[in-house]
This record gives sequence, structure tokens and C-alpha cells, in this order.
Amino acid sequence: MTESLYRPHILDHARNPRNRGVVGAATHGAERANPRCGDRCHVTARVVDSVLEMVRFDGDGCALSTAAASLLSEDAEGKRLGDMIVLTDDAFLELLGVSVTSGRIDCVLLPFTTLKNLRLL
Amino acid sequence: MRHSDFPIFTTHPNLAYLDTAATAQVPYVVLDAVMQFETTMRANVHRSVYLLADAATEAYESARREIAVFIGAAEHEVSFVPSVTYGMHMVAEMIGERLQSGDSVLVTAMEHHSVLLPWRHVVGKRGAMVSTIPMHDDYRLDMDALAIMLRQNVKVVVVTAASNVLGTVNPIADIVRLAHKAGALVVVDAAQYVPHLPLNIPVWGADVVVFSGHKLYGPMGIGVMYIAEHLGRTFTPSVQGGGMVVDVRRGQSVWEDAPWKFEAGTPNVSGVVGLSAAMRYVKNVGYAAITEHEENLTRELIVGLLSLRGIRIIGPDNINERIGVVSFTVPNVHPHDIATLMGSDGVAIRAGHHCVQPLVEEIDRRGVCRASLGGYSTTEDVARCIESLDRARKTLL
Repeated sequence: MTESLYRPHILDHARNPRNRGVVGAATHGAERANPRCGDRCHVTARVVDSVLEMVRFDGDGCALSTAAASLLSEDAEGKRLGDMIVLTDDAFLELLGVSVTSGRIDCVLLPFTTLKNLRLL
Repeated sequence: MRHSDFPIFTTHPNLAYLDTAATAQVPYVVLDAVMQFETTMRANVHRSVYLLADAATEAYESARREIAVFIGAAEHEVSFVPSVTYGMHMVAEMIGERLQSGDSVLVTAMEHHSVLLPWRHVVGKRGAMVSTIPMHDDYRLDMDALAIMLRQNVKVVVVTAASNVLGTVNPIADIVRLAHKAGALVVVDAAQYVPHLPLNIPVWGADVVVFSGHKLYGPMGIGVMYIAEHLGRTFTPSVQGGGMVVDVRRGQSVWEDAPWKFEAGTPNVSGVVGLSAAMRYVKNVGYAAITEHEENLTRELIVGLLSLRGIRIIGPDNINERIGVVSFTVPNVHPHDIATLMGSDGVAIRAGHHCVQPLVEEIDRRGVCRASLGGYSTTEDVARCIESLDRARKTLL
């Protein structure tokens, strides 16, 4: 199970995260932390006509959390914010393409939970 | 200790188990003792009058005798609790009744949440305050600071005998001497101490000592709460209920004597029987052999870790002032990634705050990795740990 966690695409996104940064003129933002492992995630977005036109994340996290944020940001852009908010944890985990062990589930869900908590700035 | 004494290593022959500080593996002799009790003596204790119940009570009380001898205490000073957390809560509540506004309780920065939180909870309710004894840069307690702090109306000193993060072994006998001179009680968390070093209550002279059984090769869910006679006699039990009273009338109850007054409810009899078997096992192996073995492996572990560039070891440098609990940080990678990748190699270490969040956050907000040894640990385990760690960080960078 754990061997499949750090697959090449996960490591690639962890080493070279896409969409890292802060959206200029963001309309929405959210910040969440996981005190148990010190991970912090900050998501900003520009939403136009209910669509996530641009999504950026920054913060500090483990490889899994960083890769999850990177993959999520790529996936979310162009989608309706409302559709992302109703997305289930299982659907998000499927997007990652790896089987996440119970001990690491909080790591990968942090960016997703943060995105789901986007609020108007 | 031999790997063949422990069934887990047969079930998982590829396991390099370096998480004994979280829980030790359990030998066959403990499982056998539990099985024997459950299959031949199971009945409730101190209640019924049939023969099976007598056998159960005798098994329970003879285990208590054996455990008391093992730690150098009197039988009536030894009661059983589910864990250090529960024991500490009980003790904090019972001592807390005597605390007043303006009183002070000293703790160390090394205290596990299981110790820190019960005391914070109780002390807060009483309007007293908790202060932290500082440490030197090498993670040893500042005894001079303790001596000064003890002048400030301190009623209790709460201290771990060995840190589950730093590996530091604290000078309990010295602390007790200073504290008693200042009129303060001393409560010791010995959970990480007893698996590695022999506990001798009279040598320490502490008023309360609590430790769990599962770190000492015993079953989970059982721990020992030593309460010195002078306190045990006068404490009002903080947990009241079945099995700990001799007389219950309207508006008034009369407690059993210690230790039974501290054991409300049906006790974990098989846990106690298993724990006494674990202590017998440790005694047969011998603390001298365990200590020597673990010291050698701790040295190998530290040398191996330091051979990897950038690894920082957290804890005392002097091998004589620490146990085989070795925490470390790896630059630029998250401890949970390291531990997960090592886990896929069959190397079990722990990562995180280790339930000492205030301390570990000061070291690294993300937590630290920790490899901890037991009497069954081997040179091969240590070598695999170093190899796996090196591989994990190369994977991540």
C-alpha cells in the first residue's frame, strides 16, 4: 500500500508543485492547518461567474500534502466552485491516483478541505 | 531477549520494529499467562465465593505481590490503572484537592500530554498555576533553576523519569531530595523508564510513580500507579464505584483500604496477570543485559544517523544520560514522509509530535522522526533503519 503512495507523478508534483503562489486580485481565499503535523495550506482563487478561473496555493506541507494541492489546483481551474464544494473526499482521492493509508489521509485532504472552505474576500 | 520470544517477528519476519517507545512487542510468555488466566481462572475478583472466583482473586493479588516486589514497593502501595493518562488524572485530582489559589505545580518541558493535560486541568480548576522547569541546551533539566523555583510555594513537582522524545533520563532521586526539602510532593511518570532501567521505589523516594504495562512487554490497557503509603492512606479516591467500598449508606460511604480503594470497577485482571508475567520475563533476561544491549545499539544508531549528512539528533549526547529513544530531524523533508517511506521498507519508526507538542514544536513545527529500541532490537534493525532513511530522503529530494 505505502509503496504506491509515492508514485512518480506524486513525487513530481511534490518536487515541482504547479500553481504555487497567490492569485493577484483574488476574489476568494481560505487557510487551514493540520496542527498534528504542522502542515498549513493557503488557497486563493479568482472566481468569475461561479467558475474558478485561477487557483493558487501556498503554505508548508509534506510531500503528499504538496502533491495533493498541486493536483487539486490543476483540476479545479475551469470548474465551477459549487461543483468542487460538493465533491466527496473519495472522489478527490480518486483524482490523486494513489491509495492513501489511514495514517496519511489528513495530509492529502488538507488542500481539498481548504479549497472547499473558500470564502469571498 | 530473542526475536523468537516474540510472535510478531514470526508473523512479520521482515519487520525492523523501532517504535518500542510507542508500545513494546509482547512475548509468548505474556500471552500464555493471559491465555491461562482466561481459560482456567476467569471470574470476577473480590466478589464471589466459589472456587473459580477464589482462583481469580488469588491470581490477581499474587500478581500484585510480584509487581510490588519488582518495583520495590509494598503491596498496598500498588494499584492498577488502565494507562498513565488515567493514573495521572486520578493522582492529579486527589492531590489537587489539597491545592489552593497561589500554589504552584512544577512540570518539565518533556512531559507527555498524558501527564501535562491532567495537571493543567486540575491546577486550573484550583486557581493554582503550572510552571515549567527549564532545560539546558543539551536537553538536561536545569537543576539550579529547579532549586530556585522550589522557593515559590511549590506543592508538587511532576516529572518524567525518561523522555519519550529526547531520551533524557532525569535524576529523579536528586529531584525528590530537593522537592521534599521544600515541602513539595514528587509525581513521576516512569512509562519510558521501566522498559530500559530498573525501577527501585526506595532509591527514588518519590511520592507517586505511574507507568504503563504495554511499554514493558506487557498487555495494553494496564498500568501501575504507585502511591506512597502516607498519601494512599489519606487520599479520597477520585474515581468511586463498585469494588472499592466496604459500606455504602444513604449519604455516606466507607472506602476500602489502599490499594483497593483506587480500583473502582472490575479490574483488568488478565492485564495484571500478563504484566506480572512480563516483569518476570524482564527479570529473567536481566536489566543489566537489557541496558548493555540497548546502550550498544543506541550508540550504533546515533553513529549511523550522524553518518547521514544534515541529520540532527535531538537529545543528550552522553549515552549514560539517555535511553534508546532517538529523535532526529531530516533537513528539507517532512518527518511523516520519511516515516511512511521507511514503513514501506518494513522499518517501523514514528514521526510527529509524540504527544509532547509544546516541546517538539519548538524543535520543528512539523514534528520529528523517532527510532526507539527495545531489548529485542538488533544490529540488523539499526542498519536497516539507516539504509532505509537514506533511501527515503533521496526519494523525496
